[in-house]
Amino acid sequence: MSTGMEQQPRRERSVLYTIVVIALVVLGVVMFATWRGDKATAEAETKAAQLIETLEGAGADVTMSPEAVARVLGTSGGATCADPNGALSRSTLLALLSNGAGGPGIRPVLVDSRLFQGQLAIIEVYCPDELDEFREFVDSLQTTSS
Amino acid sequence: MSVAGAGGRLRPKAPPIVYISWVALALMTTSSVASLRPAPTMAIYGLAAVFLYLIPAIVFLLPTSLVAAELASGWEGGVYKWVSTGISKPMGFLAVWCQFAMTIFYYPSLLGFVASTLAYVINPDLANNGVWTALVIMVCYWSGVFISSRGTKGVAGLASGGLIIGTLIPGAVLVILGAVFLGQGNPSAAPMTAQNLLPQWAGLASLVLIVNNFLSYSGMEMNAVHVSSLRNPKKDYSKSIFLSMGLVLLIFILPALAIAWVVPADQLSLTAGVMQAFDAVFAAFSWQWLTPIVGLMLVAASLGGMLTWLAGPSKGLLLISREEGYLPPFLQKLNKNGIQQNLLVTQGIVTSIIALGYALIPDVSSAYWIFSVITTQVYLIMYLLMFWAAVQLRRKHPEHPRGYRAPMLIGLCGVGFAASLAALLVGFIPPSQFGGGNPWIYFVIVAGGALGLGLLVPFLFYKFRKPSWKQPEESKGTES
Repeated sequence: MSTGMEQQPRRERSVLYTIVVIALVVLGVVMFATWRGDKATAEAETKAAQLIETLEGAGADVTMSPEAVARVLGTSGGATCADPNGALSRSTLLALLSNGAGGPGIRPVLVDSRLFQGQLAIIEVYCPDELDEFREFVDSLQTTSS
Repeated sequence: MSVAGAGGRLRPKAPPIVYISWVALALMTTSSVASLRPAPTMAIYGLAAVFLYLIPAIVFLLPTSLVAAELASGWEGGVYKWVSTGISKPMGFLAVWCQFAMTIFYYPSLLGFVASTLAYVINPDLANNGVWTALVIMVCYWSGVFISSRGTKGVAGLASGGLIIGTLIPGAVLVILGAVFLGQGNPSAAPMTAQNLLPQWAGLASLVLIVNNFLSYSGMEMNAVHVSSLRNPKKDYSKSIFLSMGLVLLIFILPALAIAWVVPADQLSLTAGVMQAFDAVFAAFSWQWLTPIVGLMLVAASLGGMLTWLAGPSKGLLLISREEGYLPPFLQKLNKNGIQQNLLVTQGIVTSIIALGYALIPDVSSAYWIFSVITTQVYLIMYLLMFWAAVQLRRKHPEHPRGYRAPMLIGLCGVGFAASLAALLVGFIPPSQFGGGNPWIYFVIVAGGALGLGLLVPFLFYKFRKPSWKQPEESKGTES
């Protein structure tokens, strides 16, 4: 029983690989051109120091310098504050409250409340307008405390 | 091109058979199972992440891989063939259906991850833009369908490349930078002492996490369907599965530890996930110019993984359908490259509808996590059947030639079956996402979904099958 052996000409594969590589290079150029790593400005470092203080107040042992934090979050909070209460952001977050699978075995679990500590602190410092709604959402989840 | 036949007349020369190497198959398998995506989430457990991956590896990865290696080295065709021969044809169809159905809801979440990874670099506001997400999912998915319809060798090349470029290299960079970070005299962000080897026991939650982590290794058997594409299937598949086992463990454990050394998950935004973890590690070294490059690499790895899932289960479904007439001839039609193109396109249409719902309808995207519970429950049915079939094959066909014989197969199958059953039962325990809802409602949703998708749909296919839909075996080409 068989479907007949597959036959794919070598030339076709070469063309396929070339197109994929070109597409990825073009995408890479676009990503590189649009990437703006946040600058560690004085304002960004002030906010970073505030975040570190908030995290340490919550019991975290922060090893990153304010300068490094500022380069990741800038003054706006970066990706974390890009509509954290939007449906797709929520969906992404819910999908990540999962086991350690990297493939289709991804499955929700009962998570430790510490998982939200960083995100809550970032939202509190960088986009406080979103905090109440986000906290309400986190509170609606069933978590364990370590 | 033509050759002279017996009567001196010219007949077309069959195109050469395309083989894939055992290393390529190992990389394909690794690409199907492992990625850097869960590293930040697992980093919160610090050193205990090792335990959380090793225990499941012993009770699930090892049995699955060794049993699949024995079965693939004896019977070509993947899980459908093993279960069909070991138990029965209908069960073989059920097994391959469960493997196939499980992927339908996987693509939107995987490609949603691709969309958010791209958004992290290009413009973070895009991450919550439904049109952007839908566009990325559609373009990537249908490109994948096109590539898969060209042949397994192309898929193997791209999946292997994606794994090396998008998982092994960034993973190695992460581990090296983490080691350098510690080498510079910085303290590890998460404690790395012997007392932290075991996760803190949180009762049921810990049990749910450990048992659900068995599923981290699901998919190890999936690429066995391509065993006939190996030059020496009896020997090469076992080598391939052992290499992928090692790679999967390394990919899961080391990057999670590296993140735990530099910046643990409880100091990151979970939504921004692995991209923010990389960004933070690079920021510690003032190397953030690498962030967009890593973003591109992660996208390449995700797309490579997607290709393997497109190419595998649908091929298994096709093989048994041609043998038993479970699917209409239209879905069994092969293109000139010998690929089940119509089946891929039909699957693509269904996936597209689900993906558009995920991207554009807030209620769907917010409840999407439930599908991953249902589909993993369905997938576990396949594992139960696979272990059962392996025992039956040893009993019924002990003399059947096998390139590899798993040691203590009955014991391995017992452990694997028990682990799969435990994961199936744990799947009915409401997770964090369900909040304080009624556990019985959750049970009904999961059980109903799993029964509908995993049993009712294949039963309907089975009931309406027609003998006239069986396809005659095709002649093989000539070896190149």
